[in-house]
Amino acid sequence: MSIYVIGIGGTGAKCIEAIIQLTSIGLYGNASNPQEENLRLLFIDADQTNGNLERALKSLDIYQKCQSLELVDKYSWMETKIDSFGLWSPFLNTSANKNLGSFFEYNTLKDDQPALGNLFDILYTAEERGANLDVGFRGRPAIGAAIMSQVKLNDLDADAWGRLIAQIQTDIGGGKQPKVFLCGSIFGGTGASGLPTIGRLIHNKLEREKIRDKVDLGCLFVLPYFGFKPELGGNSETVYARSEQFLMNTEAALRYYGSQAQDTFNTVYLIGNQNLSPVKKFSVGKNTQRNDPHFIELFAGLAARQFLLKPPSQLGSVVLINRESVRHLTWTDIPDQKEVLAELVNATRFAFVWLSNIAPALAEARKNGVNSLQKGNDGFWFVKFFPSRGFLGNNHNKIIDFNELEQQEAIEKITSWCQDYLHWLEQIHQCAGETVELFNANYLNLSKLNPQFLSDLVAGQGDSRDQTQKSKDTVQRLKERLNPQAISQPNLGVLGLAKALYLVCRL
Amino acid sequence: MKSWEIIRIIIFNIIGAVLIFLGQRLIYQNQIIPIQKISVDAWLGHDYTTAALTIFIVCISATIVWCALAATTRFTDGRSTGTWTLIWWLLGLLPLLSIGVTVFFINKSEEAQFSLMVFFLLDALLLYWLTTVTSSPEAVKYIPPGAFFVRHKLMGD
Repeated sequence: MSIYVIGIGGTGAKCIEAIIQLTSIGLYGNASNPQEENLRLLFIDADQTNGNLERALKSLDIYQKCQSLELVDKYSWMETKIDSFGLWSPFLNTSANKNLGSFFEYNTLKDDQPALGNLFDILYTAEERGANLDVGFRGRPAIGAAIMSQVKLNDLDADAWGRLIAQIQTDIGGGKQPKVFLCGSIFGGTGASGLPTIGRLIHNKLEREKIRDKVDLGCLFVLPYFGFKPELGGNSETVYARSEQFLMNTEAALRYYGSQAQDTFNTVYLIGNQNLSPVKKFSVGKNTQRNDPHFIELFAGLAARQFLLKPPSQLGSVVLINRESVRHLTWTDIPDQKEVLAELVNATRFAFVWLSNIAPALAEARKNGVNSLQKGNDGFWFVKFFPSRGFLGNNHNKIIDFNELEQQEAIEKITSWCQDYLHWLEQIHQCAGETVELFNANYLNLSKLNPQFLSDLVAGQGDSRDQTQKSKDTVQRLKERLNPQAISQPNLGVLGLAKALYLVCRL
Repeated sequence: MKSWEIIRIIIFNIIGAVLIFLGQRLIYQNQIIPIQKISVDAWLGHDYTTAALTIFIVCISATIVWCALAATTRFTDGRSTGTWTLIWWLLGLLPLLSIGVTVFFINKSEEAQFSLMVFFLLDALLLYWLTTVTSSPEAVKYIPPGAFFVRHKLMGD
């Protein structure tokens, strides 16, 4: 099976960020048949420097580097390979001004076909026609829909689209049943205009290629879940997203989907929130449009997981989910709770222990030399993975030099992933007006990680251990349980250490 | 603590007890190290037995305190290495002090002073240093001086 995820707009990128995090902890993996699934991503955004997109691309880069270390052992952590087709923008091949007027050659239209030009004037104000769209569609689906409707997938063979369709054809030729999942907001500009339109374009393209029935096409419509008050300051912008229009945008997009595109997808997921979380800093677009991760995106990732691993059997299914209490999220609200809880807890404990204890010790060894670490309180676990040459000759199979570039790079890659993952996890607990009780977010703050809080990381029903069991759950005990013999090769060096630590962090 | 660490401690203590209460005693009894100014049997029966018992108990106590402290403390990282090195040396002072007390206060034979000091020093090395070097709990196993060489490089642990 091969999996394609297409993120449309800023929210699409944020959903992909969540999917990357969930992939990294093994929730898209298949422990019984590793290496079976490859996840392939395509980002679609007119705003090529969007902050949300940048963050997703950064998470992707961090994950790819860490995944390439081949840390897979007993669990699916770091198992699924992610490839990216990169970013596609409807303005990718546009060298002229990136505005609606230029895109539709408004001046020519006015001269040659005045009736059409006048209709254009009615549909779009002068500000909308002239607004620079390199910041995206400015929360205006009407602008985005006009641009997106001009996309001709048949003409994009050299683009990311061409490569994506070719890959799907290759997969089908190899007897696979590819799954394509589109995600994005349905209330903003790019997502609301692009999601149903792009879905329909893919559907039509696959129909023309006569392979539609061999591809599962799914979609996630993210309904409004954040809001903001525009603060433009000295900025003279007049065309920008307005959160008071989100519901209207959503209604129009869903109506379009209902009337024009219902046959497009095999499965549709709808996720939203009654409480619109305030965005910390309003931005029209570009790299300052960087909204913090939200727990809704965790659900987006889990929706993608359901579609990819165990989709509803009925064609045209619409999947809705709700939680027990408004403004309150607990483990009982998480779908596939048992599997998701086990992997989230395992990965979180690993990242926590690595960052709060292991990485600082390794940094100390790098700074002061391994001798100081070997002969101290941290020596006992360090030498299990970096054994010294025995007095009577080499009494170990292989001697790993801690100072080797390869080892240091591995530490850096694993540390980067831990930071990125924990930061994302902490952020999804910080949604204003919401109480998210999955982990104790106070203990996940990267600047205040304290190994003493290990046993209290998991909140609420996620941790069923009694106080006696919890009191025994210390970083020291974990380190004492580290065992290179319990893991697959390579079981020494930084990779062995990380694999062994991940194994003992399982609850 | 792991079971084989405890077993090693017991074995070293049994060896130490055999050396102190049998081996060294026989050396004096057979006049291999001559004691002629006072009765050997009386000296062995009183001075030596008291001194040897003192050394043995102090060394065992220091070892047990070291292991108990290490096994019950909640370590977090390597920053406490300095503290634990200091603790080992402070506990190590107890056998040294007890050697001074036993050789110069409990022992009444001037002839035996030097040999007793050497024997008790070796006993202390066996009962405290070697025992902690080979059998300390996991978190402090390389803290005693020479432990990394003996336990990792020689014993492969």
